[in-house]
Amino acid sequence: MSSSTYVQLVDLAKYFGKVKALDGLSLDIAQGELVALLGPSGCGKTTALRALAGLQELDRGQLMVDGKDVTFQSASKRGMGMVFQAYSLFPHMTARENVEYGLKLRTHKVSGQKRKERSAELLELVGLSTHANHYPYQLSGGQQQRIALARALAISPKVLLLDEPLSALDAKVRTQLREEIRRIQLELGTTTLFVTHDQEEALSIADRVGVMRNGQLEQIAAPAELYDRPKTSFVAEFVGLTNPISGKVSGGSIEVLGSVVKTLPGSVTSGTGIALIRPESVDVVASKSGNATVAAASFLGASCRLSITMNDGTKITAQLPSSDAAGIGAGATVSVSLLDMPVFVKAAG
Amino acid sequence: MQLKLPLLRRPFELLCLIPLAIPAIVIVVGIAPLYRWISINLSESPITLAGVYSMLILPYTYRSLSAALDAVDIHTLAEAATTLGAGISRVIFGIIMPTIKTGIINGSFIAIALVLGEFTISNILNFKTFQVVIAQIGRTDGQVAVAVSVASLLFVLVLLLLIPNKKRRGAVLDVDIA
Repeated sequence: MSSSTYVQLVDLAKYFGKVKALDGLSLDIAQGELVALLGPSGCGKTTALRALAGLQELDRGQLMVDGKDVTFQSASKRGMGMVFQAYSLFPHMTARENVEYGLKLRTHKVSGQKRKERSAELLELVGLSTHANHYPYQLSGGQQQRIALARALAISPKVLLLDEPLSALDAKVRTQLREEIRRIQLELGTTTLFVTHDQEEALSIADRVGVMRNGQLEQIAAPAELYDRPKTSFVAEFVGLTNPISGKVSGGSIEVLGSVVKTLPGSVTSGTGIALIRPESVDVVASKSGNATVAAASFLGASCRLSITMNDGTKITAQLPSSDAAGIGAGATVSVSLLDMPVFVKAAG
Repeated sequence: MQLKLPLLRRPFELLCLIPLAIPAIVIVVGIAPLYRWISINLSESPITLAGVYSMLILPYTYRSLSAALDAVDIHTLAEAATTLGAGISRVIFGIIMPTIKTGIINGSFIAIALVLGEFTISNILNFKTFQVVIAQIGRTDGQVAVAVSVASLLFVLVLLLLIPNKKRRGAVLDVDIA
């Protein structure tokens, strides 16, 4: 990774009074990679992004982009393209003028004709060529964010910075636009840092997802790795749903719900621990002599989610393909076991 | 002010509203000695009157400007422009000023209307402004004075009527951004 490292955040720190927004954050991003920073609000992910953009001064740390130290470079000279959470189009300019704005400030390099071609190209890329002469107030939220994306990309930024660009949009537009962002990002090969609190968003489009907590990076890994092999209980619980169920740990496995499964590195190694079990690792079979009862079943389309009460009173949630769940409804007696997937085990209590 | 020093907003707002709370006569009495000093040491020109007037119109212009600034997310707009390569002067003149244009225009109209109706200060400070002249004519020739007054009233009326027309576009804008 180090050979192709393009952006480097080294030991960043920023304190707002007693609040540690960033507390020794280090992160490497490779050329053309899309890294998502994920975390609860107040974990410092936005501060990290703003620091890279130059909009946030740091108390400590170093920022390297393309081999150059940009720590003290002003935001206007860094050449970062940023898309904000709030709609940020200039209201007195049309969509095209907005896209051309960054190029206009570089007049000595870009002629008027070139500028027009470039803005047309970008409007085409975001699928809004027909709206070039619309003012922002004539555009919907999703369209405004597309134009904002085109505006950020127009200056051929070294790094594209996305600060929760989708959170003000409604669900359907959000899914659509995030796929579009990914498509465009791959097409242009722009190195991108994407900040979000929505794990689905992060997992679905990023090459790597970094989970942040209290100003530090808890774990950074490919989405599947992060989901299947969390390194800490925070990551396990923050990304995806888990059933916390206690069991006995010994020799790298845990006995829980009558099954023995391997534990992940970082887990508790002995004594009693709490296994964080994914709903889809729970196998449910209808059985008259079963060890549990279904309390409620909800149909989600391709899959089905079951709320199950074990005979000893433990409540768990299971998710299985709808075809396997056929005939299992509320009140059914079932037998529950665990699929052979390693789980993370956190300390009890 | 709104961008860099959000903490100073409240005190500044208060300061701007003070001239509204104090009667013109109090202001002028308070300011007369100061002006005597200025006119002795500098020169007695209409520019000094402009100083008092700008103090007088401050509450109105401030109000309309701050309303315009509050209606849009100036902070994000400024940051967006900065990341695109704009320096601070470009941000102010290229982005913020056009964005709050309606507010600036409204503020100026109100200011003009206000200054045209102002009598106390200019009279006491011994400036021959339009209103003072009308008052003087009124002592000799009533009819001319009334005619001129009506003309000036109409002028101010037209100015005030211009405001809502200008505002309409801004209003649509605000709703969409909010």
